[in-house]
Amino acid sequence: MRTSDPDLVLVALKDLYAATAPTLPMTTPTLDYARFVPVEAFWQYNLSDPAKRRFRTSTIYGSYVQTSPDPDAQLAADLGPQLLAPAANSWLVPLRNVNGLTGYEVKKKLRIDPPPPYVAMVLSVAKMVMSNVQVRDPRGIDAIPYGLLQWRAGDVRDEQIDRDIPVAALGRLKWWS
Amino acid sequence: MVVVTAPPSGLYAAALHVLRSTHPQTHTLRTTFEGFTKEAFAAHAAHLPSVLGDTLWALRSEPDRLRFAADLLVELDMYEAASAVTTVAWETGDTQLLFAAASLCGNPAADASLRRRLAQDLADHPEAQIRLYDTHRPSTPEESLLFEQCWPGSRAAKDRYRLPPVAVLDVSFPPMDLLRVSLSLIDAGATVRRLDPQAEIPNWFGAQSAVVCTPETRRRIVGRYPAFPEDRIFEGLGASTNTEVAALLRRITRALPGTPSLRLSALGDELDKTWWDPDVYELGAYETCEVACLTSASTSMLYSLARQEILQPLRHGRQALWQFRDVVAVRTWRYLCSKSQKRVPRDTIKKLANFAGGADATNVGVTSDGQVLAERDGVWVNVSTNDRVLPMNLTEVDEAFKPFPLGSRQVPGLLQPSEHTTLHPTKLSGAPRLAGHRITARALHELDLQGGNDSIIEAYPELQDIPFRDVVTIGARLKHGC
Repeated sequence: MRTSDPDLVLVALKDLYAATAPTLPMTTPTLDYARFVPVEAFWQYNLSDPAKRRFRTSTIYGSYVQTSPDPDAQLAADLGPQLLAPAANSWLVPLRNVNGLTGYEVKKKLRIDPPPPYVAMVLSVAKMVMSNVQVRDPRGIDAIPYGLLQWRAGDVRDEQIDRDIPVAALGRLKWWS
Repeated sequence: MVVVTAPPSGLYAAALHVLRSTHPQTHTLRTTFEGFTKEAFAAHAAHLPSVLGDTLWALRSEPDRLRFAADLLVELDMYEAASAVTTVAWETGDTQLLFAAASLCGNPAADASLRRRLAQDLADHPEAQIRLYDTHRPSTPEESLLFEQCWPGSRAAKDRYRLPPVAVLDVSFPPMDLLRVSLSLIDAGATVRRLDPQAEIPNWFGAQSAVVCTPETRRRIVGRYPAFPEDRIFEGLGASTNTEVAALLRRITRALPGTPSLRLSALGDELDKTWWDPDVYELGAYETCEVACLTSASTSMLYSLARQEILQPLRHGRQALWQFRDVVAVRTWRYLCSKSQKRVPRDTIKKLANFAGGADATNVGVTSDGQVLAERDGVWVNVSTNDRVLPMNLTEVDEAFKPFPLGSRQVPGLLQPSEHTTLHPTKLSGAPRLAGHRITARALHELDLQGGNDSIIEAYPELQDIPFRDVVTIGARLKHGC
């Protein structure tokens, strides 16, 4: 493609993603998976409306959960009914690969830019199967929608990606600091 | 005569680009706004809040991005954008945006008529009324929680909701400095409120608030809230360096005992003792000869460590590239060898290199038997097992950063290899460089080989009156690995 408008390249890449990603073969998961998101992203996309109205900013919400007697329960109580993650953001990693790691070890292992704490969405095999969640190996095109320039194939071992993940696939939420 | 200054069109383009390309999954508030803290924007920084507000129109077709942008404005308390956020919220009918607008309109500097209209629109939502007026009293625990966030003057000394401290910043200060400090405070875990010196003094001055302001604003605050402790009012906003910002954050933390401490590690790169921050520790790209020079290890020893997989340098073609953590690990081990009568296990190198860093660690040390320990909250913890340990025969890793003798040689300091040479992993991939400049020691040495000082001055005229010969010498040592 040759153009004097570099934005058109991005548009073409996004079109390529939209046309290609849904056609790639998927498999049924056989492991528990986890998805890690920064607090800002959890606040933005996963908090229920009533919970979001109780907090002025995501910084305050993060501090409130961090110092809560049971952060995991607080997160679960504040979760909204919307999608857990849209397809373009449904990066998953086997839970066994991150179990026991600290937040900074997870940051390093999963190449996450924002620092911990994170909210870990743990997806159990049973619930994923019941919710028709399927996974596949990620490819270069999966980095297009959010411009994940740091993504490299195989950089994060056993990483998988899904289509839209419904909230029904969630096993539990875990505060990972 | 009336002088009207309009923001330059480039600022609109930059704002739109930032808001279109950022995403909460991949960007923190600091990285989102980092570009606006560069000197190029200094002259126009005062326009930034209104420009960001005006730019929201262009995001109307992307509701998620629009909300993200509005949330950023609320985090920074950019009340100047209140009108724009409200207008877009009304146009789109997005309730979340209306709540963001209410948060911004709660600032007393926002338009009072807009506040009244929003209050009418959201009359059925007590959460919106609380955001807008401190006269709306909460009637449930949830509403009390929100009230104390919006009106921190109501917080008691013993915080029942574990809310973060509040930093009130006077907007009389230079806008660029204000933005820089605001971002650092939010990164460190504080809430920021911006106080317009012309506006009414709001109900923000409680047990967990600190203020940075001018003497004039100080008088107004003390006049309005005589009981507010003067030792929590700081005059002047030093913000030209990270160190000054860090000093301000420390003062705020000290003035607010009982509130969650601010995370100084969030300030990033040039603070003392931040080299083990995970974002710093894993940076750097050093050639083998450079690592040999900085650690006093021979190149064959380094290759041997790589073959044994004690260290795992990155491969760039046939070349091995080492990270800062590899340099620290090998150097610390060599330092321990130079001090100890006993053999220091090579395993220590692996443990140090595998230490993932820790923003919460205040010290890192190695015991004589090769355990790597990090001090957290005053307690030493084994970084491999997370067990608490008593630090017997401990050498703090900082010690290994200083110059030390090894046999007949003097190993140069790590962070300051010579008087005018410095290095930091966040600058120039960690390459040793002329202090205060982005000119590497290796580059100076190569120019020196071509034509001595004349070649260097021809390439870098700004070095005319600056001493750099010691840096050239370091460059030669780095090239030859000794």
